[in-house]
Amino acid sequence: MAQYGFFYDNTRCTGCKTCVMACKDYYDSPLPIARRKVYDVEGGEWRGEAEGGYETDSFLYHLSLGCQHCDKPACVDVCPTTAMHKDPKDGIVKVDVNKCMGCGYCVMACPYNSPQIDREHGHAVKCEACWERLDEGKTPVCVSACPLRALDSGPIDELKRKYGDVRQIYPMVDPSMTEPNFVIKPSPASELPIVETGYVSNPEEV
Amino acid sequence: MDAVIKELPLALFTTLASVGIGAFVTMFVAIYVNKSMEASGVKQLDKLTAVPLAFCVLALICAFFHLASPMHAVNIVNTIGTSPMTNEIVAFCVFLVLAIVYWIVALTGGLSKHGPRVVFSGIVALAGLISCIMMGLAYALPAIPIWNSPWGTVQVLGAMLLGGTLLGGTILNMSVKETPLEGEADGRIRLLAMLGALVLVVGTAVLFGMGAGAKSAMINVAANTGTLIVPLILTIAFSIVAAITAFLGRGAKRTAWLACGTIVALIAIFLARGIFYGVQIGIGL
Repeated sequence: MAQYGFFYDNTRCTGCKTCVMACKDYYDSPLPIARRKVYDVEGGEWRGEAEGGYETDSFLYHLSLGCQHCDKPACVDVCPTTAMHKDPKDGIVKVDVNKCMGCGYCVMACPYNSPQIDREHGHAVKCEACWERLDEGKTPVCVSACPLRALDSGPIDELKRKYGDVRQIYPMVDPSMTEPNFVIKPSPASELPIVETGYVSNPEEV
Repeated sequence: MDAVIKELPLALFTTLASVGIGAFVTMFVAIYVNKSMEASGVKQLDKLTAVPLAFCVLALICAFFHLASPMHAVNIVNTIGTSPMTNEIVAFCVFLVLAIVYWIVALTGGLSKHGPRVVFSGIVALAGLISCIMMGLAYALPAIPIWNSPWGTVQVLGAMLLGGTLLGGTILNMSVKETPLEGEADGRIRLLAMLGALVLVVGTAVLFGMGAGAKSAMINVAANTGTLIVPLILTIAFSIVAAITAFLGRGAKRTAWLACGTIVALIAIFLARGIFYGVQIGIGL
């Protein structure tokens, strides 16, 4: 089995959300549903100086996340119906819509805010890495749509060889929690000492 | 606050279920202590057992409203013992089936002797207690550190004791004419109601405190805490008022006080559960 994963270049992303819109369009998702989400993380402040000028340590960066298709997926662990499962073929975490009862337990358990309940269709939905496109030899729709080429996908071992093994920037959780199949190239802003004073400024969007 | 609104059916489920279960525990305590309950009173008590049973059935209906596809709920048979939510559902269903069987057997006169009645009501109470513990443990998720603590379970047990004791006390007082709630049984009911109020208030206050001290990139913790202050104050006030009603009146007036206390306790528990869902603050995103 070649475990599938995502790469995200945090230095390139401008937060345009084309990935989100391409995904929503491709899956014809209802308004509140997004399989991929872009978090705007900002923080810091402006301070007045005695001479009348201002200094700032303010920062802003974006974080585009779908599902991390974790090796220890919290959503799969807690799912009461086994609808949420890890496909042994490619390691992609998928929802069996014929089993899912839409209880929302996966939503509570996932530290990456990935699954959502689509009440209109009666089941959980989440990024499934466009597995049907992968079977046709294509890339996930978010990867092909990104105008900055900030996203990539493929077997996680290849991605690690190409891009390194950083799997966390603020406010993502410690990767030891679920072992995500995700690598990231951190931007300078995401490595500032004060980054943990930052917050997600678009919670309604995600 | 969004989390509270989203989880409204679950708040109703946990409120009604804990009170219904608590009433069965109270009835067991009263039956165990009061060996000489007169036959007419026992018959009336069996009829009124339909009230806590209705609470539990209503709770189950609320839980089903929470599901997007209730018809798929049969698939939980795949994860008995492995998913905390499945354990919660199964434990509650086992309790409910036992409670219904107990009610039918009691109504048809199958529990006329004190011994079998104590054993069967004890089994139902024990199943209810396990169900309440499972209800609390179902929320112990590592992604939500505040829930991943014993305090959610403590809150549910407090709700069971406070609301259940008052509902059970109302039914018992309505059933037996010869002041069955005097003496030892009444003392225990008062003690359970006080203990329930204390446990509910402490559990809810600790959850609130953890929520106020939480760190989150996603939620404005100060604003979230602000919206939960009024429900916390009301929970504390209503819990105290509900516990006091266990000490008021005699005879018919006592029944009225206990019934009022049950309603006040239901409001307190519902608000407390709202606070529980309001502190759903994730570790990451």
